[in-house]
Amino acid sequence: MNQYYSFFDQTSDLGIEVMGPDLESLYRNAALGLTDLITDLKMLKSIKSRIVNVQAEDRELLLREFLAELLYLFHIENFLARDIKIIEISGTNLKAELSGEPIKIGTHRIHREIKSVTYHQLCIKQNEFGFKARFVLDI
Amino acid sequence: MSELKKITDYLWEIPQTGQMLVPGRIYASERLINQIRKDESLTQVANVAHLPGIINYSLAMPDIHWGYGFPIGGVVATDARSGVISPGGVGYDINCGVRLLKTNLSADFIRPKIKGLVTTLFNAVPSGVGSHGAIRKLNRKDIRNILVNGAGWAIENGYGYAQTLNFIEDNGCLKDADPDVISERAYQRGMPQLGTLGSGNHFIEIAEVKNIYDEDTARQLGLEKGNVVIFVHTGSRGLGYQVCDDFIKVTLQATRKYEINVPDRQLACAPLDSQEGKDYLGAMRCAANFAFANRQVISSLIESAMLKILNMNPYDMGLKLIWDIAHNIAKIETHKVDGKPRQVCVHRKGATRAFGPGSQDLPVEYRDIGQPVLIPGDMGTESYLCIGTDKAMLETFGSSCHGAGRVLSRTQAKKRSQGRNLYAELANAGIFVMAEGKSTMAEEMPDAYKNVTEVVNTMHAAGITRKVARFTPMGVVKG
Repeated sequence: MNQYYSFFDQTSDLGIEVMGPDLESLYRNAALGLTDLITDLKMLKSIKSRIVNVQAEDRELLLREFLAELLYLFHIENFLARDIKIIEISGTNLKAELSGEPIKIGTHRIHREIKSVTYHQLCIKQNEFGFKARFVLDI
Repeated sequence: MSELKKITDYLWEIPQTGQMLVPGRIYASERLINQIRKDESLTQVANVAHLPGIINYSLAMPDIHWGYGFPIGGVVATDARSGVISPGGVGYDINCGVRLLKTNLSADFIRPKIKGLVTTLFNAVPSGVGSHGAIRKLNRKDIRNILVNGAGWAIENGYGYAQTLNFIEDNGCLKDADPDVISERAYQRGMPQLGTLGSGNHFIEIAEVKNIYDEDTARQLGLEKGNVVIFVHTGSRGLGYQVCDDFIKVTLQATRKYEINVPDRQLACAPLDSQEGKDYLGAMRCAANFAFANRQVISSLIESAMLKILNMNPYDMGLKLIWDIAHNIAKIETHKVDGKPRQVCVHRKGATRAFGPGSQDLPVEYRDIGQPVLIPGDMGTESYLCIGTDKAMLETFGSSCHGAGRVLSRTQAKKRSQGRNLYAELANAGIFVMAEGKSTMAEEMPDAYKNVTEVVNTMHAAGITRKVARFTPMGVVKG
């Protein structure tokens, strides 16, 4: 287990659980967790910043869209974020500032390829301690 | 979900309950079904039975395991006029598939050279995350051409021989692909990735033909005991992942618009006769064609690299495609339903087409024997070539299993691998492995998979596919 996320058993792919005291932390932790599953987060530098803006119909889909956007930036530009600041969040809209770097494949150790963030068992639940999200990554 | 009903020693039924439109049916031995019960895949078989227009059964092969939405190892046919198509029933890696190439080389000749050969292939075929093609840079026009022409594009551009196309499912090109519905993002992701293996469970394997169970069929396929064959397992790379992602969004909206009730968002679908359904089918065919081209280009890279390192001419080496199959796909096919031919959309999610003898969709060379079905196991044990039967046409819409199927999750596999040197274990078994991804070896370790022989024997005993040959690995390149 890592400070941002833990796994739940899912036979074919990777089941991820993330927690946060509030929605901002939950989305941030999910994003940093995703990055950490691709490469060692602590090896990344903050040398470039990016603004991402995503919309979706509800907070679960918004989380998936946000993570899918991060994966897209990685797949197209090799960009991975080390720090994430949630600038704005509502139930259907999220704006975040990502600080990170376009990594050099070969210099950074890549753990695995993540094909996509699926909709399977996607959920966000709230209790007295905060929020908890579950999602499955296609490997 | 209600209790499983035993139909035969190799077939189990989930009775139709609640909103299920048909029962579920799972091909498995008693031992395998007990393994299958341990994860959520049977619930997924029942969930899939909710799809409008589903015909006969929600089917599952013995390599079934818990996927996202559809189970991996699921086969579902929906009526082509009144049914739906679901991007989740194909998956992100559209036309992920396997091809098998034979050679004239004996295993005894290759064994002392295996390290050099695996290293050569590892360097010749880019693998792992962010790997870019080993071929010239492709532009948007090239990609559009690939999306429409599939493996034919590869042949026209010098990657292989024309007769190869006869031995690829659908001749390496699905008709009616529509490149106009492909998003800019999918184009971007596809451009650098043709001719790359990818990561995860994708691989190139050099194997030996160890056993022949059906001499006549093996002879017709050109398989000789003791010779070397090569398996290639990969798909449509980032382009396919993006197409799936784009169209799950489209079909989530369509599911609501057409008031379709499904128990998991990942089962989002659209009627086949709706614009959304037609667009997805056109887009999925594009991605499938990209995958056919990808496997063809990779085979060509393999051939060039092998000729060079072995210092041979192509005639002596005799690298020839035996068959190339898709195991994540949806296809419009005609099957007999209630004794009458009917057009259906067969979703094969981690399942292989397995047409029986006589099918007009097979090349003349194979028409009297049936379609080869390629079933790779894990990297440490064995793989099989089987052949489709008439019974497959009657019971499974001409489909069979696609591999061993996972039994351990990736985190369980990692735990199991702690303190072990998997490279050394495999080397002791005579298998030289090179892997790109840091986590790949542990997550893909042999213990993570079911016993492929049991999976293959189940389908053999059920009469769906017949065993023809068994292969044992000598060297593996993992993505």
